[in-house]
Amino acid sequence: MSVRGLRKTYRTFSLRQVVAVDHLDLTVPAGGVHAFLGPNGSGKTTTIRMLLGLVRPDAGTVHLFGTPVPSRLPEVVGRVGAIVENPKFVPGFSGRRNLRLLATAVGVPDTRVEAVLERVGLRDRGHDQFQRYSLGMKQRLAIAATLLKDPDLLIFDEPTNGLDPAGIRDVRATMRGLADEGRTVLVSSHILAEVEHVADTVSVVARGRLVAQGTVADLLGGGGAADVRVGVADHDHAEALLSACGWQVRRVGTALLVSGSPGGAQVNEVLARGGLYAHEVAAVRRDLEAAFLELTGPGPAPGSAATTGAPVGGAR
Amino acid sequence: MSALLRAELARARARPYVWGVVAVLTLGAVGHVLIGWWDTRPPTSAQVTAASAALVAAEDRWQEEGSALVAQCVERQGTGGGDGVDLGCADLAPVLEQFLPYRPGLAHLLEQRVTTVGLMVVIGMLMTGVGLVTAEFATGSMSTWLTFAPRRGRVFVSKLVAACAASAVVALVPVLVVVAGLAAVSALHGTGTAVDAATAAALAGRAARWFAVGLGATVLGVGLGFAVRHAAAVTGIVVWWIAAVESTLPLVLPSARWLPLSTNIRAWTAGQTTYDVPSCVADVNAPGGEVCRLVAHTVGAGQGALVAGTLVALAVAAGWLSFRLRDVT
Repeated sequence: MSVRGLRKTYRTFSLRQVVAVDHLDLTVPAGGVHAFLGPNGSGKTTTIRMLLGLVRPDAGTVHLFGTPVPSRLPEVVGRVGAIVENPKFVPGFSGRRNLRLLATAVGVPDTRVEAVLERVGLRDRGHDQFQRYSLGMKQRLAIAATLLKDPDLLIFDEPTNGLDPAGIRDVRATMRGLADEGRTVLVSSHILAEVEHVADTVSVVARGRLVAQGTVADLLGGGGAADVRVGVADHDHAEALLSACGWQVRRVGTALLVSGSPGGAQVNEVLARGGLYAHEVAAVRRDLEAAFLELTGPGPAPGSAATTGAPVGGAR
Repeated sequence: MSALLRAELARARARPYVWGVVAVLTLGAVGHVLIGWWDTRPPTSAQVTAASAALVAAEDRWQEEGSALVAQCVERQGTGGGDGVDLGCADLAPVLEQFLPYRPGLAHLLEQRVTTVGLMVVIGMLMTGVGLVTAEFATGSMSTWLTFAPRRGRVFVSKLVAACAASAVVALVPVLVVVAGLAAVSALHGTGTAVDAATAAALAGRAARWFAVGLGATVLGVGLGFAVRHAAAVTGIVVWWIAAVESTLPLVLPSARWLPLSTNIRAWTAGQTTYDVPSCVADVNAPGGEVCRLVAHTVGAGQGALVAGTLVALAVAAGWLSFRLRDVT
């Protein structure tokens, strides 16, 4: 999936123009789980709607499997399964009936309906009305719907919103499993743990613009070394030894935090040569929350250039 | 396309809303049957007693004046006073039925009800068309649907056809209830169930014209539903149209009375209709004054169909453009 210069603006009732997506460039590699990360209102859902032809972009191009959409979306829609925001089906129909309606529309046999219900664990509850499903069941039914076409690309928009922990675990496992089958999963989320747990690559958007793209490791530490937390008895001596190597050292509680070193082994070696024996040497990774807030916090105003130092483009 | 249509028909069939409309119309139909039952009920013994007494009195008068009345009738018939119509001079003698409440037969019962049942069914078909489309937008099912069937033209047409098919069923049920119910009532009350071929053909023709109006109402509802996407907004448009075009326009601009749907539907279902437009000229006898007369304008069935059809086509075009161009959220 490739998006170039995508832009979408809305007008409010007071005729004020609101930029939802602002010249967004996005590339989703084939295979694996790609997270589309951003705070609420950052344009994730609007972007997904444009990918699916539900919303007309003001500018920019979108290609799915190399085919331009929405102009030629019908050619590739059979390879795409998607859930946009909350699962929306006919409330008075059973889950099975809703799926059969969709299956009829795309020429999929009823046996496939049973197979996808089985896959998401809803076969025994397939006869219940959709409106009586719990939120988790609705999400699972939506995932089942996306699987009807046996798609190569799955797009999930905030699929774990409102789910209980068990439901979240199930959905994440399902997404991971789909990716492990060789499919491409694009999941939009503002939940950092979700990205950390299931995603292989990530794109971060803020205020409608791409602010970072790459692997999760890239996002956390730019792919380089992590900080090292060191516990020693003689702080002053240790600080002098480590600073002499050109590393940044600062005190954090009863420990030292060393930045810029190649890793814990090298830090420990320097201390040992200086006659100091550490009782703690641990790599401290920057957590995703910190990275996310750094990237999306005081982000660029729509229409202006990106101001973050995050790595836009990168991993693949 | 056929797969989409099959799915849409299944969806329409399973919509409780559609069956709700059928239930309401069926209740209305049962009401018509009950009125028919009331109209054809046998006379009470008190009515028979009163009618018998009135008959005796009438027979007494007939003994005295009957010959003269028959002679007058024959004379009038002979001079063309009846405009060629048989005045029934041989049947002037009083009979008991003349003094009992009128009990219509099946043919008359049906003739009386074509317009009211037709109007009721048309409203139901309009509601069906509006509801089937706006429910899709209200529940958000439309966006899910479009991720499976992204060709909006096909989706539009399939929903239009499915709505017409659903509304045909919506129309059929109350009509069958009315026809079967009135036939049963007529048989039960012994008022006669015979309907001659000419009457049956005329009734079928009028019913078919009302059915065509109903289909037009369905298409109108679908078009408006796609155009504004909310049942409340469609209701607002309908209320505005009734207030502005059907009610106010003829008063403000009598020459525009060709536009209201009521005029055109009446013309289509009845074969033609007329409306009067005042035509005023300066009064030569009273300077500054005017003399006005009403000029009758006739609207034929073809013109009625053309104007109403154009309005429906405009609604469909608006619906299609809106669906084609507007975002689905």
